[in-house]
Amino acid sequence: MITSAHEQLRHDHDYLVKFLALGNSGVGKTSLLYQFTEGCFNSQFTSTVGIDFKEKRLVHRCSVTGREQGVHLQLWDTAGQEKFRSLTTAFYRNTMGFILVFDLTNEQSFLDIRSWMEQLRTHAYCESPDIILVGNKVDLTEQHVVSEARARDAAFKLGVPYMEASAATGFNVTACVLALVDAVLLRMNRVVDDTRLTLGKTVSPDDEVTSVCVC
Amino acid sequence: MAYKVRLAEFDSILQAEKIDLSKLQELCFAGIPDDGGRRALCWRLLLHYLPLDRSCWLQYLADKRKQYHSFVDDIVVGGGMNSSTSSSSEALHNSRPSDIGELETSSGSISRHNNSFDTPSIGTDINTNKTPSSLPVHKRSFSNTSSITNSSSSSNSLCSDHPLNLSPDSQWVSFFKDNEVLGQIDKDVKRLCPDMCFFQRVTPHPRADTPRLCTRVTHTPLHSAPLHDKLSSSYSRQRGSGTRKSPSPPPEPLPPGTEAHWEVLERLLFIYAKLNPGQGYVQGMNEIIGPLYYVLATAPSDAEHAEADTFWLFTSLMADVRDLFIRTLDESESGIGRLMTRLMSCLKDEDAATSSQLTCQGIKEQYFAFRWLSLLFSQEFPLPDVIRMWDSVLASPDRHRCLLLLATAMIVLQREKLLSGDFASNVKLLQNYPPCDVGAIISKAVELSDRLVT
Repeated sequence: MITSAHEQLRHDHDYLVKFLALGNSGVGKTSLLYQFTEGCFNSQFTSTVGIDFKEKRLVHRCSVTGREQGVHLQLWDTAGQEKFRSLTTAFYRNTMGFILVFDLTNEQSFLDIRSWMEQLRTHAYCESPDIILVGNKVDLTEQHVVSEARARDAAFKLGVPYMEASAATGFNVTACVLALVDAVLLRMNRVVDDTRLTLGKTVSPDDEVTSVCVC
Repeated sequence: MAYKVRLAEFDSILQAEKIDLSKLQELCFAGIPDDGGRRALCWRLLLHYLPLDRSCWLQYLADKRKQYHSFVDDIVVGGGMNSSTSSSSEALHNSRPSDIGELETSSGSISRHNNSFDTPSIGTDINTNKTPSSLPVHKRSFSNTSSITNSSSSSNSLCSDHPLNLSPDSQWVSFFKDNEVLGQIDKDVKRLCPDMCFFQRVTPHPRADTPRLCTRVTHTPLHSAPLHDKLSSSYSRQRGSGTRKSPSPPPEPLPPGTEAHWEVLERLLFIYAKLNPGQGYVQGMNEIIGPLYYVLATAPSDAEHAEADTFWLFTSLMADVRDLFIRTLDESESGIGRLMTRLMSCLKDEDAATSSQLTCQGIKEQYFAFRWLSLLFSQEFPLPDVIRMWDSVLASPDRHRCLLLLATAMIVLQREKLLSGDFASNVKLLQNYPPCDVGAIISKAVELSDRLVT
């Protein structure tokens, strides 16, 4: 995926970026993605069976270079239950970023993060893909069973960034996704730059890539 | 006028001493009239629950309903938190040996393809859960000594069981395992058909004697209050309680003795999972049991038996489609993977252009057909349309073939959009099938059935 970054250019030089949401059933994956794409909360979702697709286009300013690029984000939503694992792991390989979600009011969903990480490292395109760990339902303060300190500690040990969010209020939802977009784009640009260095200026195949900047 | 003729056709078949099944299937395939509870009756027949001979209906129904309620007694009442098992369930426990015998024969007839996963099926499973006291045994030992002496384990081992006991035969271990299953069911039945309020409403036919299953898996947060008012201000500053939001109000608890329809579904699915350990509960089963229960519970007659009858209809329907729910069978002849492959080859035969469009765009059948087929289209359309579609599915002697034809028809009917759409719009189109007349899909499927080998 990453090595063929310039193949990913579509529609006015947007980067096509694919994310997958993972986590136990009922943690709020569908609601988080819906809040991100539609900007509102819908509490009326039935359980996801199989895999669902959403998309959103945005212009992202890179946190390091300040470069702006158009991003066509494809978001895949998965079913949480064990039965659907074989179906969903097939998607891991084509995914650039993983949104790993647990429910702050559900201990088990937090404990299972470890096994989701294992799944992910086994099936993803590389050993250390870009991941963000999201503790959802931060608005239900009274019902929290996982403290922020504990979640941060776990995220630190796993080597992934951690954010708390609420699909219900919309708090931090966009920030979570954009943080992951940023990480993925940094990685992509790094690969593209490396490629250019190796190939040298004479054979530069990626005039397109340099013109990605749509300032 | 034509409608009245149709009603009369149904009635002449349904009122015959012996039901002509193939004629009934033919009629039902074209849609069952909503009037007079005919659909509930037809579905009971199409799913081979009611015998074709009318004269045995009364006795048969009485037996089956009694049998279901004895499952409730064993698994929900006995296996639950209730320390005082009612005397009526004791009477049933005494008659258990014959119950098991019946069950084994009935499970044999239900499972068409005898699946190795379920061979230690209903009968055996009940044996291992022989005591109605799979829980707080020490409590029971005071209140209900008779059931303890009846049970297979000695009273010694019963008394030594406790919640932290890790031995595999600890009844607490199985209680906690059950609660995992129950937790999953609970989440799913509560969010079934959110666009209609039926499942949230109170059922006029509750089983008031059963413990409320959802309370077994509801987490009650511990409430704490600061000891001294003076200290509380410093604590709250630390925790930043000024920004706290009050939690969303919990749903109104129903008065004792009443239950909502979703609670009935919860009990049904839990009992099914307990009796079929090879399958357990898989997400999506809620979507399959939902329409069955809805049709029976809203019928003008026999709605008081909707729960028990739904159990048997669901068991029968699952016998046909359960392999779609068993992960290890995904790639087997009867599994979901194979069914999706067959769908794509049907599409190729029928409409090569659309088929190659999907292939070229990298749109895999898993993206849409997985849900279409495994849930029998129940998530694709509003409930009334699903029910109409199921008239045809249930009336088909070969249900898998019927599913394939319907799914092929659904794709073919969208071919213009699919041929002009890009990857994203096509995936969205197939995952959110546009509102349409399901009659057109069924007609198209009939048309395809003449030329497609599935």
